[in-house]
Amino acid sequence: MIITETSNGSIAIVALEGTLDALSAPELRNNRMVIDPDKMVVIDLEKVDFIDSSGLGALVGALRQKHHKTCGIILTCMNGHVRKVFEITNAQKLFHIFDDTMAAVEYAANQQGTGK
Amino acid sequence: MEDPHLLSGIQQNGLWAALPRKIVHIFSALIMIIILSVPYILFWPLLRLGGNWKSTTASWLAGNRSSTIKLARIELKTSGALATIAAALSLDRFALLFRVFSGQLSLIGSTPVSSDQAPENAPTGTLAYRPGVFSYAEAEEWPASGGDAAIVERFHLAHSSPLSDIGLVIKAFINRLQEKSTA
Repeated sequence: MIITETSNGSIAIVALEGTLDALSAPELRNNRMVIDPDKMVVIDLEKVDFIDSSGLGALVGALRQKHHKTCGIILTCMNGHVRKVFEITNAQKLFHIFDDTMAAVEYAANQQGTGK
Repeated sequence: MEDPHLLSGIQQNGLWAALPRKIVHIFSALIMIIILSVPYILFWPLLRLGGNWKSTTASWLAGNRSSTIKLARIELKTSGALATIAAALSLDRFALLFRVFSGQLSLIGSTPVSSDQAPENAPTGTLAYRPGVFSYAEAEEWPASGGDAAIVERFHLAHSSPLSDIGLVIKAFINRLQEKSTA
């Protein structure tokens, strides 16, 4: 899996590409942006073509580590297959999910500004 | 990638997938019963006499959610070496293995939910809950209970095959073995 990190102000944007499974999940779990409890991270899933339970676990685990319990990790640009997995497992209820990365960044910045 | 999770086949194959799964689960449960029967027969009376084995019966939601099943919940105090070995071998689940034959439990599935509480964070749908002797969450590096566990359980309920269930049972068994032996 390819992980690309950028940032917009204080918000980190982590774009994932490839398969998020048992092999690649530790890479995401150990990403420096993801493990920083104070960092709000927008994860772009546009180029993720497969996610399994370990990948889901990495995302849920990352959210649990954040001080911002509801918006420490924000997900964007899910394709239909990945979205379906989130719907079936009901993991979608844990995350704020956006279709547009910039909208997610804006939302994260607002949340950070209000201290929620 | 075209339908990498094969989600489109779930509804169509649901009925046909149930029978092979049941056969695989019954066969695997039979093997586990054969393997665990000797330690169970040896350990159970000693643990019960020593007060380390306590059994209470409670009602749990059945797979169809419209009825309940009564299951014994075993509280195993892992104070001595004998109890630790019994817990590592999952002897507290031994009696539940027989419920796989009647179809009340799967060998591996969801964590049984008490009849007086709704499944946590559960969506509607028949794939969301199938009580098992072992839970899918126990096979993964996920919390073994609660809402997060329900997520991984629902993932496997939707995606696992009868054969992958065998692998997950082995993983759950090994995880419990390691957990109890390092506790």
